[in-house]
Amino acid sequence: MARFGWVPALALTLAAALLVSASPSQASGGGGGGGGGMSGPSSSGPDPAKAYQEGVAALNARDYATAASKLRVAADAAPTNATVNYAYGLALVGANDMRGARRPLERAVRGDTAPADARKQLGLVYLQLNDREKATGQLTALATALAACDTACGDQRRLQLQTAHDALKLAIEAPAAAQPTTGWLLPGPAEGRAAYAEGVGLVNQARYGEALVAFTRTETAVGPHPDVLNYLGFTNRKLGNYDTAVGYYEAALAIDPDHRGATEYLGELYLEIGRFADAQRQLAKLDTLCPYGCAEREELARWVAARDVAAGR
Amino acid sequence: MTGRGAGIALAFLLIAAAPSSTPVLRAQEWTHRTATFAQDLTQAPAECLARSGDDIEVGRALFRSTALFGGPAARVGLSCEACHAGGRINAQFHLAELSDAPGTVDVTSEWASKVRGDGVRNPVPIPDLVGVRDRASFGGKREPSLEVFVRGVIVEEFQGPVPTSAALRGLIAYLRALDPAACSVTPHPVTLATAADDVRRAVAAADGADSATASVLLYAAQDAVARIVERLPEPQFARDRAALTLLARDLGALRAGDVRVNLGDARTGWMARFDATVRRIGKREARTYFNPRVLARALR
Repeated sequence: MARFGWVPALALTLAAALLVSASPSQASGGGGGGGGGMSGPSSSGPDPAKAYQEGVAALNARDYATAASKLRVAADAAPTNATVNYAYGLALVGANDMRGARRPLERAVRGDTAPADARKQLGLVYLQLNDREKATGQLTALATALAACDTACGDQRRLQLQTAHDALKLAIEAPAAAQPTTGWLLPGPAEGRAAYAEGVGLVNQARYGEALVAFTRTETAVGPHPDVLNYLGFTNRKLGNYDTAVGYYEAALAIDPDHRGATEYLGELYLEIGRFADAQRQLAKLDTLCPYGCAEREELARWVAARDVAAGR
Repeated sequence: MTGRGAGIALAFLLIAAAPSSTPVLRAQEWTHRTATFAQDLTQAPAECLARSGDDIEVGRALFRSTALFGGPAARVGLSCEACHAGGRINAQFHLAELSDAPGTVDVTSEWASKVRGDGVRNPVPIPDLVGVRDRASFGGKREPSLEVFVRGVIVEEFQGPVPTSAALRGLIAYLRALDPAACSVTPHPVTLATAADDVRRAVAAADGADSATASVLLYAAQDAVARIVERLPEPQFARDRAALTLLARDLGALRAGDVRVNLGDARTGWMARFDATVRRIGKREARTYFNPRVLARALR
């Protein structure tokens, strides 16, 4: 069970919770078992606590069919238990049964004790079922829970709610799938690529004046390509020509508004001239542009973090 | 310039500046183009991994990821795996900026390094890393310690950030677990299953790591998701690409704040959605770029 993040804290109490919540009528609805209260399950019926534990073990082992089968027993015995319904819903999501996952996840979010992730999962299931309105409803519920999360609610719970909220918001806004190939190497005539590589090498040696010449030669070969404009901005920045650098970055972004390199380097320039909020915005843009992560985002994040450390934040 | 001359020059600029066709796979950028190009991009030397363990898994995930590097190498998408496929030799590695022949790389290039450039274009054959644990010295500088050597490759040769101690320990453990006795001569196909396994193993490795290392491992997992997405043709797989992109974004979001707490809360749900997506794609894997015949058509 160790891999089921929120389960260990609840594991010791869960079996008791299941037994308490499994009234005779509920238990019988779950497959013929009688028993209830604290006396344990009937010897003739399924043991919901055991089924739950086996279900969670199967879920952790990514055996979703077994997990769903076991957790259904537990959920039938404890139909209002948020934890059990959440686990059951996840098992059905893993089994690619989104229609089936909807009901247990709806039950999971009814109480105050639901894991923050449950609303996110339910919202994602609604999206898969093309019910955007209900998905947005879960986002609103997460925002409301977040606003109401005070000191007693706790930092950890707030962070969980925030993470779930942000992830669901992103899914609802559904930015287009990004191209995973980097396309960083300059396309075009071999002469341009060679001059570009030479310029990059000169940048690495901090020989910015010579790099500027190499990138100017590149531009002559390939034209106003955003990669080249970006490096013309970079070398000018390193030479202290900030206004010229901004002009080149803006020219690169005018051709390709999503150019990662220009977005990164403009952010670095903003940090250098004390426009920290603008630098943060560039970083946020890179987060959007790089769903699979990217070196440009990592590098600017390091610059921002270093600036935060320097500022004592 | 005459009017005609200006027209020719403008036409040249427009042609030259027109975006070239986007590569299908990022590995195309560093793979020598031959008659077997598509096959080369759908198989790799079999990994000679003799053991498993938490540190080894950390190292394995990072070895395959751009997360270790910085500078131009990271921006192109290079990783240790790009040159040392399966910990062995990528005999088809060829990047114009670093190579003069397939299977070679200039480890003292100004293009990749701020401090190791020697002003000479002198690519050397990529070495096999299997059996590295038994070597007495490492690399052209004859480093006496594998730790010092690996750290130098990351930080000096490829401008990467200083790795966390757990990341470095993992890489060393992974390299030392590459055993000649565990090798197979048969290349191993790159499939949806192997690519998805890379994602799961990176996430699982993050689960047990300290927060800083877990963050890098989740970046490695995001990167591994990208290696699936790029093999799903548009528009037939648009829905699956969108689902995987969202899953990758979720991993990125988990990197903010306390990664271990975030991951503990979200891991099971994330994995359930990932598995469901992979299973859905698997039904049509034959139509993806995991299939060399489909890839070959796209590469024409």
